[in-house]
Amino acid sequence: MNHWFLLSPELLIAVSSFLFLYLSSHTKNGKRDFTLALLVSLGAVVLSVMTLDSEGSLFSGTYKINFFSQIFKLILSLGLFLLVWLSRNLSDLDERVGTEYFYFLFSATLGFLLLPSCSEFITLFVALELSSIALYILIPLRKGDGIDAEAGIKYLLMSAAATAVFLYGASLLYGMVKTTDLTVAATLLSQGGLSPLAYVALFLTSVAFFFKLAVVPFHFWAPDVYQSANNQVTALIATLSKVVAVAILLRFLPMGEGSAKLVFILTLLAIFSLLIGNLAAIWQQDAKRLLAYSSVAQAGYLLIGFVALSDEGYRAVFYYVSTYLFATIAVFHVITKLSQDGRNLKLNDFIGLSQRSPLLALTLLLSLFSLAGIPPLVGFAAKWFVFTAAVEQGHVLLVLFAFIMSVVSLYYYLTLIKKAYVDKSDQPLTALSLTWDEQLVSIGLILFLVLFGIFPGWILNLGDKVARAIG
Amino acid sequence: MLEQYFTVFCFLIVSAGFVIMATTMPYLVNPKTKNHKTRMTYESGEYSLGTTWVQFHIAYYLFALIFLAFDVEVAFLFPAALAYNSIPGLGVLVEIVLFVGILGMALHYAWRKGVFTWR
Repeated sequence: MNHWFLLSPELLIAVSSFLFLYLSSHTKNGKRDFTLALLVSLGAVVLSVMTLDSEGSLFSGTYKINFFSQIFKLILSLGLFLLVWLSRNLSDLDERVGTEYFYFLFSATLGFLLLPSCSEFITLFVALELSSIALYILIPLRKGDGIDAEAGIKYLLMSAAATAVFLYGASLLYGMVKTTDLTVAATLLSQGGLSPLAYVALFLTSVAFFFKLAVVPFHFWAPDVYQSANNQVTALIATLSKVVAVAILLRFLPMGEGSAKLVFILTLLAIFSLLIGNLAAIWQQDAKRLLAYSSVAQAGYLLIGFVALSDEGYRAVFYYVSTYLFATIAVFHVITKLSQDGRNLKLNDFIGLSQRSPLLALTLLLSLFSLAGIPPLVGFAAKWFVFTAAVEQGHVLLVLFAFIMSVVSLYYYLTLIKKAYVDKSDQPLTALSLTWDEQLVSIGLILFLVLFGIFPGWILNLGDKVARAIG
Repeated sequence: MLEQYFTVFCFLIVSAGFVIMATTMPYLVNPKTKNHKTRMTYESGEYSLGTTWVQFHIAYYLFALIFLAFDVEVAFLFPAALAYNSIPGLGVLVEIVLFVGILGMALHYAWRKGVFTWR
């Protein structure tokens, strides 16, 4: 098949990001930029659907197109479309940087789109840096006091450190297999079980992606960055960045299949992520800080799927992350609508939401229930699959611990819901009216959360295909 | 089992040792002469005029950044120029134009934002 067509989603995003760079040095027009970005991201969704079943190898084998990469590209471009839609009201960004916001959003997404296809360390590194550097600029872009710069610098330094560790691990792997090709490296490494050096190298290369997933102890940036970045950028970090990290881990960690040591390390990471994420979230008063700690805990559940190191586990992880993306976007849809001026929401700002806008409150209710894992929503099915995959491999105690922790997590999710539904406000409430597209997205997300929770088979089948296409 | 980690340990020692070496070696081997000239500000072999504790114009900073971008561009164009004749077709030319064009957009951006207007 034509090479240009195989690359079409990435090319579209690349060309459009340059277009935004060009536009940003000319007249500013928020409406125009938003419409253009929405059309381009819709185009990327269409192109990734069209290339979904294609196979290919580009640039002398450094870039692989298969079902694994294309399904992640589809999820990422769907996420991008919703994120652009969330950016219709960028009230806490300086008007002068409105177009630059889209430029960096699209170049970050370009990096994300490239990552699942990279089958070589150097390409992987370049794509990783492309996405990270755009994020370094997006985080402190918010208008206002110095705390944004603080979070930006924190993210920059920690991300740079994580990347350095990744490079160290990659250099060790290269030293062992004498190739930068991931597929060849995987076969060479797994011959006759992993050597101790290979475990260490594998773990070190994964650190950059544990960092993106905010797994304890690589989570320190998460609360500050979530709190300081503007709502849309936080949504970007909370969704697309996690999906990509999982995609890369799905390619790295299977190299260590059947090794007790990797399982042990992953178990430790999962336990601490669950413990610290869930317990720290209880104390938060800022909605986005709460979501940051909740994302740390969710990374813990995801790791349980990796602990299984089996095809069921990978399938469950795929189901988990693809549904987590939409549940999180639903929460951020509520947050961006509720915070018209783009400020951070305290938990008390949710009081009376059910009277101000019943549909928005229902979206919040279902998405938080889904994150907490209450049936029949997608979050429940996701946790169920992850837990069964781990139990099948004999990790009963870990699953028991995760189960207890998910009960703990109910507390803070329900606190937010209680504010929205039960608590009485001492000030008069103003009705929030949703426009037709806001209603449409709300209803779409609600249907997704409910329908794919009751009938998880379709996404699970995709997950099966993903598990087969790894490598 | 444990001795299998010896390789890992060796790598750790070597990589840590490299950093320690690189930072301590200068202390050990540098000339210890202390006189008027050692304390002078190094300015590419030139005598510096006046004190160095002066305020620089902020435009220098942006200027340096843009210079860096084009410095890297030149560094990447050298290998392309060397290999140019061994690859037939106009594909390479298109790639070079694209590469320079993308960096040119950065220059265009800086220009439009008034980086070159010194006030």
